[in-house]
Amino acid sequence: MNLLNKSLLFLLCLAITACSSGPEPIDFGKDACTWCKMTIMDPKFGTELVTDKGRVYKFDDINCLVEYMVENKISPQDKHSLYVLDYSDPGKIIDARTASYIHSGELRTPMASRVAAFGIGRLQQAHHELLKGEEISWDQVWKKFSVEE
Amino acid sequence: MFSIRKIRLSFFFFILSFVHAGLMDAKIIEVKASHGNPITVAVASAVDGDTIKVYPGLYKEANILITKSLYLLGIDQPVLDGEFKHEIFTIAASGVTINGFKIINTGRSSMEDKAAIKCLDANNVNISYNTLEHTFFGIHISNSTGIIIECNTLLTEGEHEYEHGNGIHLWKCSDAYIQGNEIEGHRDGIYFEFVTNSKIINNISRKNKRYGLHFMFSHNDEYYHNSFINNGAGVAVMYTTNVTMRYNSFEQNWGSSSYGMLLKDIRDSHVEFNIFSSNTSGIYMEGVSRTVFHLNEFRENGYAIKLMASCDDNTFSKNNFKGNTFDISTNSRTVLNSLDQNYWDKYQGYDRDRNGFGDVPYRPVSLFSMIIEQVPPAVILWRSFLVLVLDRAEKSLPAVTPENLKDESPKMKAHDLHS
Repeated sequence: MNLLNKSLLFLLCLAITACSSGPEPIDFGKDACTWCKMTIMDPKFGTELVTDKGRVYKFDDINCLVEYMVENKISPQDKHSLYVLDYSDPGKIIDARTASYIHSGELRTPMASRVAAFGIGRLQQAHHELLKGEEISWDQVWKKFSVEE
Repeated sequence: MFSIRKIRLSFFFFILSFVHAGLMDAKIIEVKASHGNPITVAVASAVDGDTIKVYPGLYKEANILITKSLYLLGIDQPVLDGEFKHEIFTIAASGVTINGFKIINTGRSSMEDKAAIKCLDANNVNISYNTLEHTFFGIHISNSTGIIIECNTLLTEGEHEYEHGNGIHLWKCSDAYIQGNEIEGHRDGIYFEFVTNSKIINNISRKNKRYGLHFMFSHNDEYYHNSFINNGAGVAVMYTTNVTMRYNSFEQNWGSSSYGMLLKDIRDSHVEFNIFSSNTSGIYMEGVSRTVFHLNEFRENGYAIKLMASCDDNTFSKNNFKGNTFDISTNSRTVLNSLDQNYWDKYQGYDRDRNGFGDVPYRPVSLFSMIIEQVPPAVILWRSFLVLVLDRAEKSLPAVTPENLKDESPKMKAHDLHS
């Protein structure tokens, strides 16, 4: 009986973890960008799209994410989750819609978007002056890469 | 600033002598390992056109900024050690030569690209016969024209992929000439972004963490006689028009997202006389158009060519396909590319008129490869009876595989590509 309980609990845990739909950590050097097929290497610039059904798509740069969404007719207003990596804290996954962005010619991003993302409040702390760029919002990022195509 | 290491260096003498070089005004300045920063001092005292001869020894000098056109010559490979903290040479002048040094242990940083030799806005720089070991970026060039990088050896290692920089990294350059270098263990062996009218010849790039060669937005470049072996993900050629790749070999790139050559958004290019051997996919192509694939050899790859539906107007002629699991796979029925006079070892037709070409067309796309494209785990059924029957049925009555993708005159014997 005890064993049965334990195994039931185990199955339940498994079911719960399988359903979680948060972002998935990027395996740098292994995962490939869904759009440009390049292996993701730079923990300062990755992005992620998690669909409402829980499918995870990883990208190496923010323009890859936007171009993929445009190509597949996914609107930024859809209820999918969008994530970016925090430039000031490499590897940290943050919400794309509330993040702040810097567009700067000084940035060498994997696919030449030249856009870096920062978590709430992190922009003021660091790098802003260093990068000599302009601050833009998620909407502007979207417009920038969805129109240029 | 006085450390035990520096005191140890006081064994060496500091000799700085000025010798007039014949009729010319240019001087030769000789530098021997000594206390202090002899090379930096020599560079500071030199004027345009001078030669600085550096004798063998260990130099713990870093951040040597060169703003004059100087010829730096290392005699018997003097060693410059960055002690894992610093960049070594930063060149911001035209007409500089760096020849014969051994540069080791540069700093590593995720925020700035520290390199053994960095050039910024410098034209006609020549970097040759150097050995670079344990560097973050090896040779890092931006915004420069007429750069020559010849016969250098770049070797590095490290645990995590993202701790590596690129071996030879060029950004916004033109007319570069990169020849005879050996690159191992970097992120990308050779990296080009916005580099035009350049030549890459006779280099060996192996065991790099990501790509042996990676170039993006780099038009009108030529690649001859290079070897790309056992790199993390092979070679990537992206967003470029008019590239010529001849006589290169792409070998042993295994992995789920690993390709002999990844072609993405390429136009009007030539891929000829190359060898693709033992790769998961020989060539993976997406958004490629008006490109010629001629006289290449595809040997023992998982897929010789993965041709995505977004490719059109490409020609595959006179290539050899030998011992590949799948010759060509695609994800669509409509294929707008042509095949002509290739040799396919899986061809089972006949040649009754004895003209050297088969009398019935060969269709290189098997039904099963299309099923795998949709459902990758189905590969477990490979070589089963079911798959055999399916493929045979599809061959006689094509229903799923692209009807137009066929070689009307498949060669009966392999093309001799070595004569």
